[in-house]
Amino acid sequence: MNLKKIKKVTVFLLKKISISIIAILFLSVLVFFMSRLAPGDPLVSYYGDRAERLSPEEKEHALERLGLNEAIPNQYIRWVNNAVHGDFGISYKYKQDVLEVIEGRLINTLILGGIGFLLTFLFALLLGIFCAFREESLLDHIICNVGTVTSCIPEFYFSLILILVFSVNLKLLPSSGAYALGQSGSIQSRLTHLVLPMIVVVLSHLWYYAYMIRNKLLEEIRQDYVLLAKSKGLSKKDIMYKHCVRNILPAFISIMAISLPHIVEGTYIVEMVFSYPGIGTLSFESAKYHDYNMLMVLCLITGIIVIIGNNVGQAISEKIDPRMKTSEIVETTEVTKI
Amino acid sequence: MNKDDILVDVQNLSHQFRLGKKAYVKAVHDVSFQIKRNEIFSLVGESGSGKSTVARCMMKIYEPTNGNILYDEMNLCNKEEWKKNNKRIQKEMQIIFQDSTSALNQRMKIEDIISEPLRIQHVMKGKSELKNYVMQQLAYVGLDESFLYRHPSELSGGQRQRVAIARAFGMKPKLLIADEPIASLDVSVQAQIVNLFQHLQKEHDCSILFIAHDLSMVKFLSTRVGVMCRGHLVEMAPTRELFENPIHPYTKALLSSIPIPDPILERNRKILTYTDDTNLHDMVFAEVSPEHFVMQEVGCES
Amino acid sequence: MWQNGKCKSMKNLIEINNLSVHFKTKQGEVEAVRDVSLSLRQGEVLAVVGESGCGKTVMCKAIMKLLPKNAWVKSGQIIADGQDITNLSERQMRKLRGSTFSMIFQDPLTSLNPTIPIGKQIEEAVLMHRNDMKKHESKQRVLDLMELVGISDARLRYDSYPHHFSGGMRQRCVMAIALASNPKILIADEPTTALDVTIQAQILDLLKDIQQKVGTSTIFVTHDLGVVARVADRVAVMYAGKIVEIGTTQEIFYDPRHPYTWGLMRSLPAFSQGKEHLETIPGFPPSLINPPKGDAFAPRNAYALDVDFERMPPMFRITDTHYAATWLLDERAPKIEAPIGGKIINEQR
Repeated sequence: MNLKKIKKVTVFLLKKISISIIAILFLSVLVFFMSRLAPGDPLVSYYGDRAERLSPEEKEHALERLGLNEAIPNQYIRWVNNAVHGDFGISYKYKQDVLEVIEGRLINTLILGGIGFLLTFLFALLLGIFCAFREESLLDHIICNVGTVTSCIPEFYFSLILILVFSVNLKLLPSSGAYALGQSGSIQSRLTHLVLPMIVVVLSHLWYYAYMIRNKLLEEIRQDYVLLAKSKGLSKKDIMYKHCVRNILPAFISIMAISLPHIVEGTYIVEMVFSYPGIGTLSFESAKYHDYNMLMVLCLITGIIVIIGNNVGQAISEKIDPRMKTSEIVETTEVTKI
Repeated sequence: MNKDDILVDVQNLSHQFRLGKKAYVKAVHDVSFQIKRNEIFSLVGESGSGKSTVARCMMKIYEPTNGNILYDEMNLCNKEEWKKNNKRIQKEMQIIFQDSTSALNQRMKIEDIISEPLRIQHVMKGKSELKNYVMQQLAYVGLDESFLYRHPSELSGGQRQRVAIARAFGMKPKLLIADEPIASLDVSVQAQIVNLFQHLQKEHDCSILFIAHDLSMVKFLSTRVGVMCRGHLVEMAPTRELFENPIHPYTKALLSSIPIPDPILERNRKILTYTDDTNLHDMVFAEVSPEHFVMQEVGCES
Repeated sequence: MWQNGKCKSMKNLIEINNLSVHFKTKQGEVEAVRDVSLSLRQGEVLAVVGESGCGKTVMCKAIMKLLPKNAWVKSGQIIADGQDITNLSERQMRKLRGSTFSMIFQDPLTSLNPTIPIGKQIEEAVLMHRNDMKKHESKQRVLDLMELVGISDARLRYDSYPHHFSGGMRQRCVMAIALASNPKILIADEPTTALDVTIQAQILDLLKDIQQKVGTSTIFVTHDLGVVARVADRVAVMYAGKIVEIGTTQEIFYDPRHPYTWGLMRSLPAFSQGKEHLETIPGFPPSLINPPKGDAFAPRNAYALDVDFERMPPMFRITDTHYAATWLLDERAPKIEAPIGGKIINEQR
């Protein structure tokens, strides 16, 4: 029995992983060709202004050195071959190994995006429960309206206003970067730099999800079993936490998983406005300067985050929700009704 | 049975629902019956017995896994014949569902609900002609003009079911499939609707396949009855014969469970239970007396 | 306990005096329950019969104080087990729910939480009013309850989820939950309507069985007169938010007095055997937004008198247990022979 289970799990995992790999390969093809087809000169990012003064021979030589003179499909095959061996090439702009450049930036993004993601959903859940509890009350109405307004403000605009208020006028918080010059180790400096971008990431997504959770809960409260629970003598609070919230958790987790790309994208925009040295700014730069190798790796990282997020979400919600286990349904006769 | 008399001939119909890669549920298993012209044929059984699935296969909502359905000597399960005739069949076969709340589009007015199929099938030419016809149909089912511009949500369950009936009969169907049309209605409304069915059936000379779990109404309404149990048709007979002389133990159990609105009789009513360990697959459907068919073990038919 | 004579000496567990419940809707104020007075005696089954929208469910929810937000008790008084509960707070009501009264709902498919095992859901109800119970005690109590409502292999089924059960089994689970704290009053709102006929009788017999074993008094809401005939000691017939006739089961079935009761019974196929058509009540029930001034049934009533359209009939006394609200019982009214009742129907089976 146990062995059978282990086998089942491994088959399941292998299936998921192979599908993910195919998805990532497909993504890499797409990004590779799209980036090459975009107009512009990749040599500009490598040589800077000097690129314009290169003679045709020098240019050809440079292209050959960077491997850009071959046909695009061949370039792609070479790139895959190198990538499999762990060589993702060098960044044209930084003239360093791509992974080295990314390493430092990735942590910054994870701090901003990861914490922002968790905070967004923590607050969304709390706010959703709070509003569902006080359905149709004045407070609920106020929160709903304010929430709708905040979620409609574009992130970059919101960021600029915060910078204007807190950095320019009040001079309370720094407006850009991840830490003050020369203080990369200081936690305090990091935190003060995080405050404004974090506020934007959280606030701009918060209400969208809080409202979803509020509505899911209200739907759940209208179910018949809540009436039975009430007639047992359970209090509203008990019904909310022991029954309703529990029942929306699977939906909540799938929403979390599906929204991962949404929040990643939001983080990238915020990074750019605050010149926060993370992956977002880096991808923007690499796309702008035709830093092909860099762009490929960044896209893959983003893609992997999204795919992992989706799969994990699905797996968890299957575990939590007994209704999702299809294999058990067969035992009942109820199915024949359909 | 005279061949010209038969409107629908269902032959060895089976339908399976697929649940997963290897899991199937057999909803209907090898069911054969005929519906004659101008009769009300009832299928009864408990929930999950497959009676609705039979109806849906006949309406081609589900594609049957096995078997043939001959309508007026056209095989509905044959793709080419179906393609050739589906316009005609869609017009001649109408269905009424149990839950008229969800079967009627909440955003449409009653007038549009009734006239929509007429417009699709191009039965009427002019606009005023169409409107007159719709009003006439409403009058048939006992609703007045004021209902024309109302929405389904403003009507009671019985009134909504009347609208569904008006829509179905407006097409002048040859076969009406009524899938538990009275199950969710009140007793007095049920009686109204049953009378309406009876009346309209005579008026239109059509056949009705009436699917129900309420045996007392079936007894009143139908000419012949088929009893379904877990996907099998276990007994089929003219109504009187079935109620007076039930043979299959499941039919007996079902008949014994009809509540009697009389306290003394009801409290002394003996309820038979049907526990079946017999394997219904190994049985044959045999005629025991004229038009009375029962599922029996092989070798029992004498 | 089933003899009606005995019930008289017993005390009233529920007493409803002139209860009116109103709903606020977009179209206007709906008078769902209008001036209803009723009592439930110790150990009896009182059936409340009526068609959908007649206010029978609303009345039950008003007793349990489970009314939706847009409904409120306009006037009247509800006394349960000697205590006036009309103005109790939610917190006080919570103590009574489950212990003094509990409720069974119509649809067993939706009245259980789909994500919690059956045993846990029953246990929750057991622990509700007994916080001091130890783990193994409460589990034992759950198993006992499951056995009481006829769930075999209780120990095995303890961890099953609702979707593993059939409709009848789920209704048994709901009953176990309702009975968990030995309530004095059980309110059953159409508990068998959603079930198959063959299971319906089983559940009814079980309900009656338990009712005699545990001694709960039951308010049984239904629209099915066959069900009423099986379980009820007394019957209240409701129409358009009012009780139009109330009496013992025998009185209602064999000597009905209100034209609506006649109509309701005559529309059953059992009374139309051998006839061409089923008898019906013509027309539709009235809207309860601004309900009619006189007898709400008058427009559909072939026996209606002029006074029916003008003045609301009071409850006329027929016997000590039998009352009906129709002007036909007034001494000035013409004598009309009831079209039904008086004899046991002949069911040829």
